[in-house]
Order: sequence, then structure tokens, then C-alpha cells
Amino acid sequence: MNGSLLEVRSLAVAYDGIPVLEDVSFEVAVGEAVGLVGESGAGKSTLARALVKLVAARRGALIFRGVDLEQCTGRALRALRRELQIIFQDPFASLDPRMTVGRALLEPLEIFEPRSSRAHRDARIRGALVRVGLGAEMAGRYPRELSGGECQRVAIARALLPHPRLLICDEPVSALDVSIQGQVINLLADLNRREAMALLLISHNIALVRHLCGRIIVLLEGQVLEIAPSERLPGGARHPYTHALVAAVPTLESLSRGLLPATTAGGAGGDARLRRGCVYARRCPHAEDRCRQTRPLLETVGEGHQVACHRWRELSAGGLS
Amino acid sequence: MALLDIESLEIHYERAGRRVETVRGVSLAVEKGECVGLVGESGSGKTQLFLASLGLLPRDARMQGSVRFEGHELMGADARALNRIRGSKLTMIFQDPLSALTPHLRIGAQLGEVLTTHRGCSRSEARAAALAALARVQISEPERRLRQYPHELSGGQRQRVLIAMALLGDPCMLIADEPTSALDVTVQAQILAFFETLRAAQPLAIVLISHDLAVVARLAERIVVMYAGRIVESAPAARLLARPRHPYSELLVQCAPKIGGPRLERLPFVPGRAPRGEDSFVGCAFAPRCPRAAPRCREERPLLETGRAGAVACHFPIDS
Repeated sequence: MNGSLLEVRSLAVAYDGIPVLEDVSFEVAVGEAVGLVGESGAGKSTLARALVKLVAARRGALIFRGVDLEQCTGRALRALRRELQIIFQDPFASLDPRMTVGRALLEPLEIFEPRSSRAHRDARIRGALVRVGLGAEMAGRYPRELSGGECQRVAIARALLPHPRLLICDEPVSALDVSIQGQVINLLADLNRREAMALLLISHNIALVRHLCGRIIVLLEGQVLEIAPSERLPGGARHPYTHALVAAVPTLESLSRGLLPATTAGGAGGDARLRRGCVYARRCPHAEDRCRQTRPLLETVGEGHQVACHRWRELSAGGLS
Repeated sequence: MALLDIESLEIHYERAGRRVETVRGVSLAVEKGECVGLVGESGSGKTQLFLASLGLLPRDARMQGSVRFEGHELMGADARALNRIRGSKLTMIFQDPLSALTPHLRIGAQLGEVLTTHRGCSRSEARAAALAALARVQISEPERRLRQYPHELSGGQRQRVLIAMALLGDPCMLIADEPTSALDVTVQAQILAFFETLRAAQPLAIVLISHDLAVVARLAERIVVMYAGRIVESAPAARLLARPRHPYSELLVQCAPKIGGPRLERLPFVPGRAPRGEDSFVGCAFAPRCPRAAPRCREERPLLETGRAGAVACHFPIDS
């Protein structure tokens, strides 16, 4: 570990009094790539937005480079925010259709480097396009002339301009064809490895996240159920929900297993205010009374590996995987 | 006689003085009860092919060729003739279940409408049939769903409602266009498993359209790969997945997500960008992205040649 870049401590977020995130804690080290997986409604995007202060936290602390973002305002916040950038799922919606790519890339420079010269800005824009594998001539194009993959790379180029130390990627490839998802993921991997830019990669697809990220955080209904080193997956996952997420991924490998994917995994929902116990208990094939009554806390089960399950010990002994 | 027989279908548009070709000559037959997986990237023409079959393309679409369903020609058929077939015997579901439902009508009313329109059912018959249809797609609390609006349902529940709606007319063919792409992997797995049980229960032909081979792999008996408005390979699913012959199919097999095995430093991908309808090609459309392309590929277009184990359009197919 290179020291902590971001520390999330007991973060809670609620919309209209309904909890969306509860007691979420994790760290991202300098230059680390961390994956955040879960279904729709798990709170993944809310977490991403809370980190860049697009939604307000109800409780908890967000420590970025030693400073609590919750206590930070005005100029100090803006200075930190440039080091914390975010890209979203829909690459077309994140670019203004009336702006050329060059114009879209100029915006962050006008905000963050207001006194730089025209020549300097042009050079920075060309450099950013080349960094994401696009030609400098791309600057004159409009979003409608680009493919989905190219649009997403422009969005990445724009996020890179303020020299972020952490790039939050919210489902960066799920709107793209599988055939080109690798291009974007490899680009993110290169930026992470070569330039020590930390990544928080949010996705519903654990298969994708596993290759890029060293650690994976599994979120369900606003709670962290497991934090595991990627090399321990898929077999070494300790939470039944993580196993369900793994089993659900359609792969060509699973054909030879000849089994239907686990069907216990789907259908998030339910009223968060009424629940006690483990958030997965309703769907968990291994749930017993205590799972429905008491919420399991995260406990350490190995190096860098935590799980929140009452039965992890017996289930792993019984060969859950 | 094939259930659906598409022959030499071509579709193009004139947009801003430019010719945009979406389907450049496709022949495809689907047999009764067969499950075909149709795979290709965005813009490969896979959706256009079936929108044309159902008469759902925009008015400025220019079409040539023939589409026969149970022997009846659909191309150029009037809306009345089409309505006897589409929505009942031949039906299609789409990627985005929210935009396919009317936001201000309860689920029960939307399902009932299909029955009163196509079947001439009374309202009470329609309600009973709608309830049975929801139960059939294994949706939780079907009674309650009938009274709900689309926005009150999750993405997976909405897609189940649309499948229920598609099944109301007792179809013999279902076209599912990226039915799970907007859903979580967990819900996707449930929907795909449901298609499997559905096919076990009745002889239903399914065309499953996706950009991801792994999504169609489990269900499809035959896989058809499209590129730039043409079929580049068609083969029994097991053969195509184990021994793809077109270099594009091989790349798609490599790009399918992997959950087991060691972590990869780099993920495989198809280099370059998918072609668009405005692009025109002298040789093979895939040549600019093909790792095996030779000068001949850029000069002469390979034709789809049928052999014993499927068809492939490549001058230098793998294993030849």
C-alpha cells in the first residue's frame, strides 16, 4: 500500500429520509484500482456522486488526501475537486451535441487554468486526445460523428485534463458493445499503471471489474457485504451474494458447466426502512433466523478480505464455491 | 418450409443526400421451434432486419427482397394483413422495457388491450388472461402488478411484463432484441433462464439478438454473425463457439466476458471502430480491422459460402 488517497468513513446518504447508503467504509490507496459491484439500486451511483459532492452525505466522513471533503468549501474544495474526476455510463449524454470535441475539452481548462495561453491550451487538448488513443484531428468533430467508444474516450480525455489523482468511472462501458469494452478498460488500466492514477470502477459486471481492479467491494441495498482481493475471486468469495453475482455473468465458460445460472440473485427492492437483519437474507438460499433478525457486521476473514455474513465460516467449510 | 424466410433483403435510406445502407443483402431462414442467436455490433443491421420483417421501419426506408412468414409475403403487405401476424404469431421485444410501455396506463390495462384488440375478449376475460400471463412469466405478486404503473416496477419486472404481453397472442416466433442489455447481470440470468423454460414447455422459435456472444450462447442452437449489414458467418452454436471460421467471429469469442482463470493484464477487443451505414466498401467490410487481412480482402468482397458445417464469408477462413 502506498498510503491512503481516499478514505470513506461510515458514509450514509438518504433520499427523502429513505436510506440509500448506510455505514459504508473503505479506502482507496494512492494509485490503486478498486472495483465497486452491485445491482441497480445498490447505491453505487449514489456513492460515486457523494464522493464528488453531487449529493450530500447525511453522516460520515470523506477524507481525500488527508482533508475531510465534508468540512471543505469554496476555493479549497475546488482545488481538491480537480483531483477527483468522474465519468458516467452514457458517453453521448455526457457531451454537449452542439460542441465540438475540442470545445468540450477546452471547458475544464478555462475553469482550472484560466490564465493559460491559447497555444498552451491547444497543446493540452491535443495531448489529452493522444493520451486516450484518439487523433488530434478529433478536436474538430461533433459527438454525433463519433462511435460510443470514441465518445467515452473523449469523456475520459476531458476528465484527465485537470490531472486527477482519482478517476471515478460509473459503468464506463456498459453502454458499449462487448467487442470494444476492452479498448476502454485497457485504456483505464494503462492510465492506472503508467500514471499511478487511482481508479474507482463501478459496474454491475464482476467479470469485467475483476481483471482491472486489485480489490472489489460488493454493495447491496446500500451496505457493503464483502471487500475481497480480486485474485481470490471467483472461488474465494465468502459472501453468498458475491457467489450469486459471479454465477449470473453469462460467459462461454459456464456453458461447459451445463447449469442454469443462479436465479436467487435478482430482484433488488423492498422497503429499506422496514428491514432488519442481513439485506440479502430475503433472497439468500442459506439464510436462517438470525440472518433475518440481526444485521451481520463486516469482519476480517483474510488479508485485505472482509465479509458481512453470519454463516461465512460454515459455508466456506461446506464448499460454497 | 421455414417459419420465417428472409431472402436477399436490402435496406437503405437517403439521408441528407447520402446513401445510408443498413442491410446489404441478407438471407436468413428460421425454422419452427428453432432458437437462433444473432450477434453483431451496433450498426451491423441486426435490428433493422427484423424491424423490416414486421413492417416497423420508418417511412423513408427503401427495401428490396422478400420476407415470408408461414409462406405469406410480408414485404409490401398492408397494415391489416400485417396486424393479423405481428403482435400475435410473430412478436418482438426490445432492449428498453420502459419506453415500450405506456407510462400513464396500468399494467393490467396494457395487457388487456392486446387481448381485446387481437382476440376480441371481454374485459373480465382479458383480466383473467392478463393475470395468467403475468403468472406465466414468474413475476412476483402478479395481482398487485396488474394495478401498478410501469414506473413502479423494476427493470426486470418491466421486461417480464413485456414478455408476458408478447406471449399473450400465443406466438410461434419471438424476436428478442437485446432483451437483457439494460438489466443487471443477475436479472439477465433470470430472464435467459426463463426463455429456456419457455422453450422447454412449447415449440417457440426465438431469435435472440445481442452484441455479446455469451448472452446468446446458452440458448441458441445456431448462431448468425452480422457485420456491416451482411451475414459473415452462420453455424451450429457449439461449432461456432468452439471453432469460429471468420476472423470476426473468432474475435467476438475472445471478447466474451471471462469470470474464471487468471486475471488478465489486458482484455481482448476488436480493434478500430464498427463501420456505419454511410461507409462503402470495395472488398471485405471487416478488412480494415482484420488481423488476417491480405491485399485480396481489400479488393474483392468475399461471398457467403455454405459448407457442411455452416456458412462463412471470408477469403481466408480459419482452419482452411
